[in-house]
Amino acid sequence: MPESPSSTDEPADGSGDELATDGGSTAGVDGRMSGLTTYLRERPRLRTLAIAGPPYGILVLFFAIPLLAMLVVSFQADQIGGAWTLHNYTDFLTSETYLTVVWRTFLISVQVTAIVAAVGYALAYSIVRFSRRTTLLLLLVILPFWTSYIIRMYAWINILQSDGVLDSLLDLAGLPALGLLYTDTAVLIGFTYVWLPLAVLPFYASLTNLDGDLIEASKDLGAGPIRTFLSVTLPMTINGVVTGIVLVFIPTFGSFITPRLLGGTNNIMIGMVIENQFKSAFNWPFGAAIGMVISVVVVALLVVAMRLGGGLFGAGGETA
Amino acid sequence: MSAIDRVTDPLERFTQAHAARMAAAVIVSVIAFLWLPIGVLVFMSFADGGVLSFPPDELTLRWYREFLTNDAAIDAIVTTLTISIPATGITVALSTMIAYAIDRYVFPGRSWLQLLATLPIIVPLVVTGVAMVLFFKGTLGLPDYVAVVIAHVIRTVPFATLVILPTFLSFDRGLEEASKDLGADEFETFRQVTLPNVFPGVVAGGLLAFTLSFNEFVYTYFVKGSGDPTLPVYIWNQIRYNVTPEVNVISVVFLAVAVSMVLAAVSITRVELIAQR
Amino acid sequence: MSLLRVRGLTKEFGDLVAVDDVDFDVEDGEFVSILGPSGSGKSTVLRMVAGFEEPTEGEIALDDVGIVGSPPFERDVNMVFQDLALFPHLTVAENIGYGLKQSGVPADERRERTEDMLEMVRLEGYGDRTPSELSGGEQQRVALARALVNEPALVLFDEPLSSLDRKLRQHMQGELQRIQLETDTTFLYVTHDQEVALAVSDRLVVLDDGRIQQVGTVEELYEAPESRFVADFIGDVNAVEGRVTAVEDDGIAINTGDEAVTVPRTTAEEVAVDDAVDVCIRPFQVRVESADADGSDADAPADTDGTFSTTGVVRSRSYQGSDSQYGIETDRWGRLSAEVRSASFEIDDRVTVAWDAADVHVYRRDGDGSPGGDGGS
Repeated sequence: MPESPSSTDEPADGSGDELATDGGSTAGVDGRMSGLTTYLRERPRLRTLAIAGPPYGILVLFFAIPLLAMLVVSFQADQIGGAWTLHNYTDFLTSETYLTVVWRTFLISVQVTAIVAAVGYALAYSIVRFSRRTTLLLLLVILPFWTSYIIRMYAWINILQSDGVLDSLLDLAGLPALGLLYTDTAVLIGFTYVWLPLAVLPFYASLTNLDGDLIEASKDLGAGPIRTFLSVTLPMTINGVVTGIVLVFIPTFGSFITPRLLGGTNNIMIGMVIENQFKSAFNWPFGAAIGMVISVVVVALLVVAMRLGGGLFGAGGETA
Repeated sequence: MSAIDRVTDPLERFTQAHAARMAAAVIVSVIAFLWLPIGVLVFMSFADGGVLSFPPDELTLRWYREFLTNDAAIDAIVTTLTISIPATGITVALSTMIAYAIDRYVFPGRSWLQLLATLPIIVPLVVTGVAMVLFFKGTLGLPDYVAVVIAHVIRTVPFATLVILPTFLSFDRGLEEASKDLGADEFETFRQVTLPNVFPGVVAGGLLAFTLSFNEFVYTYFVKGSGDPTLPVYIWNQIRYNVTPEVNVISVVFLAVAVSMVLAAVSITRVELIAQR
Repeated sequence: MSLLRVRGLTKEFGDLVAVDDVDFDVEDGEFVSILGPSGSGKSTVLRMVAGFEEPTEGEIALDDVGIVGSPPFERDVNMVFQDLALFPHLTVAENIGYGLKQSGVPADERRERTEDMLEMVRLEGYGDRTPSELSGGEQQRVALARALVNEPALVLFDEPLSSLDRKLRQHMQGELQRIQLETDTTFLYVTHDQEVALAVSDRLVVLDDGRIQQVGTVEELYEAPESRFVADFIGDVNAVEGRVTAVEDDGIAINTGDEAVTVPRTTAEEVAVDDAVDVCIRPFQVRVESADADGSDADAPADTDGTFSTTGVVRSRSYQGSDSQYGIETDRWGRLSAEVRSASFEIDDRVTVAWDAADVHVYRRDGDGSPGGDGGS
């Protein structure tokens, strides 16, 4: 073999362009791209801007700025560009009807979150600690999340409506019909159904990251399974729990689909009020103001969650 | 088992002794709760008597035939695809750029980019929906189609990024050094080494983005004007105003899309990796 | 003319000086190792030669041509990476042929040279497998073949053997030497493992804290370490604290306790009267005899005529093949270790311990480690 580099077939002083085109692969595009990469290699700032700039710009222009625009519009009277006013807020905050709706929405969200957290955590715990087929089970849990939200609500209409699947089965068993559709119970069932898969993921993630030796150490030191759970497992997975709670509470608080489809006409939630402003009342600034009210509740919750659980946005990774 | 012997509380003992059985019961009942309604939907799409009667008198393919001859439903599917396909393409490009930038570069505002790419998941859909209709329609006066595609991109980018970013983060950059060491320049290295290795994650991100966009309702409902509804909006109108058994058939279409896309995505990446991140 | 010439090489990461004014050469056909503890800057030197890091200052010339500033894909060097960096999406043959493909070698010649290389590393018939189907040792061979097939002027190794178990590592060391001779290629090998470096290298560059401590052959480094660091790092060493009491033309008197011992001038770096020093001796140069056998006095004084000696008690022993290693608690100098062949002592035996003054190396304590005298014995 040759000893000297001059006898190798790779020019030591060749430029990137020559290498790429000599490389035998197709000609023009590669050459141009190599020229471009060489150009960008020498200008790291421009390179970063070329990669990060477009998504940054789109997210700012079409997500962040609209949210700011909503804040602006919420201070305008009757329509976009209307006179500056605080009326949208004072009207909302002095109306007993609206405040009752906010309180109702809050209560339902708390109930849903509690149910989903309890059931979801039990499920995640059972999968992590007692099952070997975790991938399959996890898949079975998250798959329903990827079907249409409305379709999942529609499935429960089929089941819960009077003479629907549930009542028919009860009838066959000789039991009285329940007629659950258009009740708060139906709303709770519907929310639990759609959010359960979403909450299981962060629970699952935090539980798999928990060192199983800690649980055995606790038992070895004399704590039973329940005390071990309360004094070791739960505190060590609190980040996952907080993430799951946030992921359930926030969308529930802003939801209008589930109460519209499964709840009765008296079971109004705040999201439905917004929907009304845009779909029938056509008072956009008022709708924007309600959007801000929801946002304030959401931000308050996030602040509390950050205090409790720490890295929320890192935990966002578990929602897919 | 001396540790157990020291536990005297009967409840603790019971839990210790029956934990595995309790776990199995939880798993079976929750998964049944998640899948029975879907089973009911599929079953009812073959029911002869219509949506309201259970059990059905007999099974039939009649609703599938009616669905295939229903121009409004077919149009809704076409409308959805003309939105979802370009939105998915844009989302995959943007999410790949985000993942690449966050993985490779340190620049001012890097953590803001990550936050911006996560926030649309956390802000309630109805709030973002309202903000979008105000800004896209009220301020910018965007045409319907453009506004809806942008809305879908904003909806899907966070999820696609969540899938694509880990594949970049877990990609061994030593491989790129090896490639350059062996004579390949940046572009050839990206084409021959980086891309083949992150490709599964990018495709999985695209499949999930498409699924999400195909199902997208809230943003579309707010941003899109009347006329030419997407399939989820069409279903919404059907359910709210005149339910026909055909809705069950459309449900099966949704299910098939979701299940096949997600299974395809899972088969090329590992779902656990995403969940554990 | 050296194949690789490194002059004044310096790399700073912010305030940290990772590599500090490093000079060394690698001659054509040599096997040179850069040896140093982790964090010594040795990998950074290698990465600057490969082109993955740009030096803050200094010059790197390959075959008399400066290569600082040219990207890695234009340098006629190839690297065997620490984690091997085999492309998981390519087969073994595609991995090996990757570099040839980049330089435009036609497909059939590529195939031929890949086959030859598989034969060279004794992996005939493995071409269609993927790297994940190979064992650790086989993967090492593929990584080596992938670098060698391009016939680079210089092959760089970034501790690729560190992940292997001892037996396999020793085998691969032999393979590396065989392949280096067969291909007549120049190797620059970076490692923290003195055993590997001593076994395979023609010459060693010892690096600590970014600075070169010593450059030389294995024998030079082992027998004439220029600093306490090198003495410690290359092989084991015992150190006895002392103080210089006189510096004469024919020797240096060092008091290591009660009395002074005169050591040859050549064993010490530049020292002055009253300097605190370490007197270092390799365990294999320590003689051990039973103290009770000839009934000699239990507290023999340190000899002034060129021998260090004391008495002590055996505290530990371990067998190392034909040798035994003893840990001895001495009456005068604390715990020392001795490697002794064909002698057998039990724990708690009283022994005398001695070594020749000519065998020691003397280093100033708290010195900056800068090389002084020639050393040598």
